[in-house]
Amino acid sequence: MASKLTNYQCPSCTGPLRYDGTIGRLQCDYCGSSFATEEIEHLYQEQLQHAEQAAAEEVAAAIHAAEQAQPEESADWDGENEGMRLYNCPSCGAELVFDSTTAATSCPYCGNPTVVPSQFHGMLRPDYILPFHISREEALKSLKEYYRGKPLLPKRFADANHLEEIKGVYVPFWLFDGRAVGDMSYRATRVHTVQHGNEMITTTEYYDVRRAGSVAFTRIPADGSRKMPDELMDSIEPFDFSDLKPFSTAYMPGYMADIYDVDDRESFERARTRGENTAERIFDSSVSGYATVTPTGRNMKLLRERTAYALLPVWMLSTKWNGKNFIFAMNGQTGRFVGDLPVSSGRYFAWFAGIAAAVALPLAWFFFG
Amino acid sequence: MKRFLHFLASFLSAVLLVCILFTMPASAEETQDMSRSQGLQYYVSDAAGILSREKWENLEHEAERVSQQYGCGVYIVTVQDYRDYISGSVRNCAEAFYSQYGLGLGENRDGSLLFLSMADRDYSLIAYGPGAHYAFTDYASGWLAEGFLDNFRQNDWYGGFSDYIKGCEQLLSRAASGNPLDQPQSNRSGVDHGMGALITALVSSLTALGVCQGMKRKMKPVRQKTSAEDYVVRGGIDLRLKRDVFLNRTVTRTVIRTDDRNTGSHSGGHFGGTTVNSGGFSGHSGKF
Repeated sequence: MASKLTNYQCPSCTGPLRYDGTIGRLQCDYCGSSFATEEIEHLYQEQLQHAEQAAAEEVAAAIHAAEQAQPEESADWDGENEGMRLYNCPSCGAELVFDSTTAATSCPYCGNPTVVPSQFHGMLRPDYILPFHISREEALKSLKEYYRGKPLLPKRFADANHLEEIKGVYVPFWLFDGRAVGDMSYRATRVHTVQHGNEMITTTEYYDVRRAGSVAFTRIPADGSRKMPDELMDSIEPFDFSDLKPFSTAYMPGYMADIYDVDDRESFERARTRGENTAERIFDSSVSGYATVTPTGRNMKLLRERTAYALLPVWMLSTKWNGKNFIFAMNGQTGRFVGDLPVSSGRYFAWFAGIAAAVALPLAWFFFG
Repeated sequence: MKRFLHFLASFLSAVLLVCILFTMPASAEETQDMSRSQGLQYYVSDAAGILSREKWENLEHEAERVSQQYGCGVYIVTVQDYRDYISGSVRNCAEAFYSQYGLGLGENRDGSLLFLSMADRDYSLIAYGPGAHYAFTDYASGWLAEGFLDNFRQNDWYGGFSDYIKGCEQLLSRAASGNPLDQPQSNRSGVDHGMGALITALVSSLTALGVCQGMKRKMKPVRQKTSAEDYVVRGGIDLRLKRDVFLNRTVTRTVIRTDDRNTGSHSGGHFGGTTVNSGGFSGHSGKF
């Protein structure tokens, strides 16, 4: 069963359109025309509605088929049962098999950007989208700059580094609004020391300290994709959420997009930990003017108030070196670039020896010179 | 009454010591050297009575030989309790003895005195005069003490005094050849070589490790976030309870201890040489 794909085409020449984050418009690479996202949304509104209706029918049919299915029939190979889906490219007609979470991609045969509108049906429809601001070229440039000023990076890694893949991905994120409410208690001391004659008199005062209240948070992000490493997504924060737009597929051509496969309840646990830790630190920092502060009781809870589902822009770059994959991520809005790099043991020890020698020389002169 | 008895005991002890110090020559050897000092007539004065006659004679002979050879008196005085003579430290008592009995040889009264108080096992090793200060540097004084203290700790008085006299001979010999025992003057730190090497190795290794680990951490910046400071709503912090209740107070008193050695002025500082106090004495005190 092939599902429907949408291929945004240029109203002037029918060439494929691609969203250009640097100018914030949909661009035709063939005739050079550019269009505002609202224009294309309007043009494709009917088609989108049709696609959503078809998706609803598809879901109903799937449920019906599942109810009617005999046990022996389920033993047959079925791409959708394996978490894959079959599509037809609207440009070249090729049959394409994608991951069930794929919502936007490009055809490997004709290269045209395609969107799967049915993936955004009902509960799966994001509330917001944060458009790309950083171009592919800027992402590539950032990778090269990222290698600079890293004295422990193996020289051959930077020299012979072949980029395996670069893709702009709209990653599904849950954004949680909430309020951390709690109370904390501490035992604190103040110490005064005075010299009186040949005596040192030390006075220690003990205090029972309590703090209670709340800390409000807005849009703590937690990615909702199992494919994306959590620590990598955390490391490209923060995003500027003042630039969030109401969701539209018109921002997606030219990029890949996934729908969430980690639900909001599961993702909230990460946001809860972060919020509660931060609130505790804020409470801790309000206890000042003491020589020592020892926490004696902690009771903090992040209450969830509102949840939004958004697609956030991320450039994913991957390279291979010595048989190992290195993945980098770049915040597609702010340009923040992160990724773990290999460390050259030889360079590490050379730097170690150099620094040790540089420190040892003046010390040796001082002690033995 | 108590004070009177204490005064009487102190007075009698002092009289006894003076009698011993000044009557020994008459009952001991006839080899007096009238040119060596104006007061105390013997190099070894055993008021505590811890030496046999024979051992005393041997030590006296050796001390005199070394003193005469180098022109610097090498003295030993033992007492039962230095507090019977002076209210102060054992060092003060040793210095008072040196001054009051006119110890030392030559016009500068150069000399070294090893003073033992048996009651609480106190000792003081002092030197006086420019010639003695040249030979008995702080470092040399410590080295000399190491030589006799192990004997004294085993109540081997004769062995300890013998080591002291031999040590003095070595130090005076080195000083006479223009090479007194001291820390190298070029050692700016005052720290011995072993410790210097250890500090150098540790500081350089730890610094290099810290810098390299910092560089390595920059290569691995990807880590899960555990806080959400960026998402705190402006004005969203509401600390409705801020209560600091005083519970109780404790007071501790500590007596500030002062070191005898820090009471004088320094001529050598921490760069080798000899530390001389305002009374013109160098040396140190301790327990054995």
